[in-house]
Amino acid sequence: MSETVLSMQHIVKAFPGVIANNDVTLEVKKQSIHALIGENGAGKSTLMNVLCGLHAPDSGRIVFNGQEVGIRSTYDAIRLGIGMVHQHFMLVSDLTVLENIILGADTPHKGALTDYKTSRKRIEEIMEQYSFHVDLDKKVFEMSVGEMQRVEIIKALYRGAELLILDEPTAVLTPSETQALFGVCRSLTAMGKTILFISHKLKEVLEISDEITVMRAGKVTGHIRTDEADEIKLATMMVGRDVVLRVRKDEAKPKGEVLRVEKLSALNDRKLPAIKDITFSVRAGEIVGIAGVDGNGQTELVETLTGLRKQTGGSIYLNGENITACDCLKRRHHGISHVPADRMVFGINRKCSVEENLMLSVYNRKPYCRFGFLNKGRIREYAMELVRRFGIIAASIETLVGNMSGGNMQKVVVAREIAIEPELLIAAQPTRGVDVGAIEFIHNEIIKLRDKDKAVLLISMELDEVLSLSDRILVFYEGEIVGEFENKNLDELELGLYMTGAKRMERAI
Amino acid sequence: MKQSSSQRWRQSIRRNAGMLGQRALIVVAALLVATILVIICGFDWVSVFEGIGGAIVHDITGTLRWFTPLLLTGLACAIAFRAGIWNMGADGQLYMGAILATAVALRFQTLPPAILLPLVFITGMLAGAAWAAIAGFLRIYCGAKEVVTTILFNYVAFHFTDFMVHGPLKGSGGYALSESSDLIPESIWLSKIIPESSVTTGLIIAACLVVVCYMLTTKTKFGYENRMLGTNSAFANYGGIHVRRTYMTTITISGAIAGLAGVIEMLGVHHHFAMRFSNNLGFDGMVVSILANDSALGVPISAFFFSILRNGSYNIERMSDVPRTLVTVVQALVILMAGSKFVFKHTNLKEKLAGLMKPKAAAGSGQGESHE
Repeated sequence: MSETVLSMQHIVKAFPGVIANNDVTLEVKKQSIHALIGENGAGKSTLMNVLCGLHAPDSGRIVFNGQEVGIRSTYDAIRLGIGMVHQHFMLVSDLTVLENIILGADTPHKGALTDYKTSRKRIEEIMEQYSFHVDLDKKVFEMSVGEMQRVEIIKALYRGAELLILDEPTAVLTPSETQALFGVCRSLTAMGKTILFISHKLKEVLEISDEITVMRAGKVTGHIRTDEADEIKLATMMVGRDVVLRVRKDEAKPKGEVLRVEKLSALNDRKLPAIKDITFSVRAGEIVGIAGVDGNGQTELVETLTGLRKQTGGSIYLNGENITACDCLKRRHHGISHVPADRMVFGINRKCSVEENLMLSVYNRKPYCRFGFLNKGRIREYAMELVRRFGIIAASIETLVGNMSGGNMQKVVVAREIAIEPELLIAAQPTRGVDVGAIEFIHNEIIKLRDKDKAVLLISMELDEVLSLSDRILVFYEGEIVGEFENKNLDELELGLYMTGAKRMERAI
Repeated sequence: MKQSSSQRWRQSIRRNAGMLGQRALIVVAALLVATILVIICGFDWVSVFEGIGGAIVHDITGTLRWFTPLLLTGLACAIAFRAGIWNMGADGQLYMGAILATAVALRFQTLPPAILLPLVFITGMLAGAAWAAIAGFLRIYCGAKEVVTTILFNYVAFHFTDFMVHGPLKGSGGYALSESSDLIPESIWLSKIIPESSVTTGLIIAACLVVVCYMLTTKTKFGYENRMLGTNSAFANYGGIHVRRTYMTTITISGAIAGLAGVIEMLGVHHHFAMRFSNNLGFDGMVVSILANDSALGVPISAFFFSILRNGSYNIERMSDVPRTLVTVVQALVILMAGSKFVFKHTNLKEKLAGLMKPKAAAGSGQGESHE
């Protein structure tokens, strides 16, 4: 129990513009369940990718089973006995479980043919050993998420994994599936395996782990034995006590209600309820921030509000008008503007120029378009003005957006969505991947929009951002609003408890 | 403002010149590889180039005869490809356009030409559009990929037109024996703009359509929506573009242009519906569009190249024993090499070339190391 199986020492990994791992040291004891927790962007995934051979660290060493190892590829990692169960399963849905497990592994052969019998026997042995079971002849697409996860675990064990990394394993599971997973984890450690459990749900971590390492902003902020930990301690380490860089802004003077959401529900891509009976409103001249850990329904909320996702119940009103049945275009015409969190998919069109990207929000409006014809001169002027005003760095407006830096891409998105002065701006992660100067600029633009009596709904995984911009804060946990606060003298730790599901508030609506 | 506009011109010229250069490179490379194949097969490669050269020098009208339909099918494909719609069915749409136009022309031959001619044109275009729209409809409402359905619809169109010329539209006398419809009234034949040739006013119509398509794709709201759909449909949807509507409009326009190609072939060259007359014009249109990088202004250049090849191939067969299918080989090579543009982009060809140009010593020593 006390022997160290893995030791990652002083790992540094930088990406352009961000140090994802800054001198990170992680020690994992054999036969233990070690939890790695932290907010999104804290650097957990980068650290695990370094361990799996997906990224090469800039410096630092990895000692595994007492030997210093160089992990240059995923193959190296598997050979050493490091197995990863990804959050998004890596399974071929049209193949059977058996085929999935042996795919790509060193499999027994009979000449050129795969020896299914022997492989099957070996897998059945593994399942018996750890006392869990899946039907090997079932095709993956027929399986539930929990079963798929089990297949992934068997896949790793079949490849001889000694150390199993579970990346946010409970994010897609129902509560009962989660309990089943915990059972599996316990039997695995009982048989001598070690588990690295990545999560940001404090309750689960406290329930399942032996030790906990906390990361924030690329650094390890704490290491603690689970029996000495409690939610408040962990939340402190996760959220941190750093002084928030507050943006200068005047007191909000909210006017009438712009957005009203009543009992809104929607499903996520896996057809599970993602948001449940949500009711809230945003008034003109105020910024409402939604705080919460990623994956608690924020994305689905934004997509439902903007018309990208169908709601399963409830209604949405904009300036008193019911827009529940409207599509994206009509909602835009009603004055909803949207800075999407997923910049690469929705926010920009990499294959097109800055101009073509900027004109998306105005191309079908006068004076930029008349009788179906585009007024190229006007559009060009408009694009050049936005480039100037928002400090977008590009050789010209003809530059392909795909060739620009992430921060500049984000500026293109923000410029396009804010410049039209919408009735309601839905800003999801408006400053993701943007440098500090640009963050301040974007924040100020958002506040200016508020001061023009427009409504702003801000969704951010960065608590600091929510705290510094919002006038009112709603906390999201598992698709529900569990707390609502005026942003005055707020206790961040308290907020952290709501965010991780440790506390909830009954709201009077 | 003036300065910036001149800058803009310079920039766009540079960009287009770069694209032209890249495309020229593809053509040269394709011809080179084809020549090597000809030599390997033991044919006389000089006669190949004599044949191709003859297509320009001695028989420019023959080249222009092929230019017209290739221009049209090229445009039909370019409009669709630009929106990311793989309309592989230009051939079928062309046939449906031609057969219905023929049917109308024969059925209403008593009408005055001033009424009949527009009627024939409209029928042909509508038929092509409808044929393409079915595939579009299946894509949107049933999720059937248009890349598959449009190919399959080609065969339906082939056999439907076969049936028509054997049945309802079966010609009389010699036309019946040659599996063809009757001649359409001479009053609506397209008039020749070069005497003693097959170059008709159809060429003028096609040229006008190039301009129309250029305007449509670059100057209109539809052109923007069409391009956004082709480059990132999630982005288009997010921005409030009606993805389905744009999809349907695009594929319908594409089919209408292909149908027009059929009408013009029939009215201008054949003057009757001869069974399977198209001879792959639709498929060639795809190659034309691919070489033109789906640009309306690029299509004429690309179509001209392929019409030289096509016309030249008949010369080659007359002058030597090189089979005409050589042209198909060149086309295949063009598709392969145009497809490799992605590789160019990702491997950063410029840097690689710069690396190759550097003193050979460096490259040599690098190689030596790898051998050791």
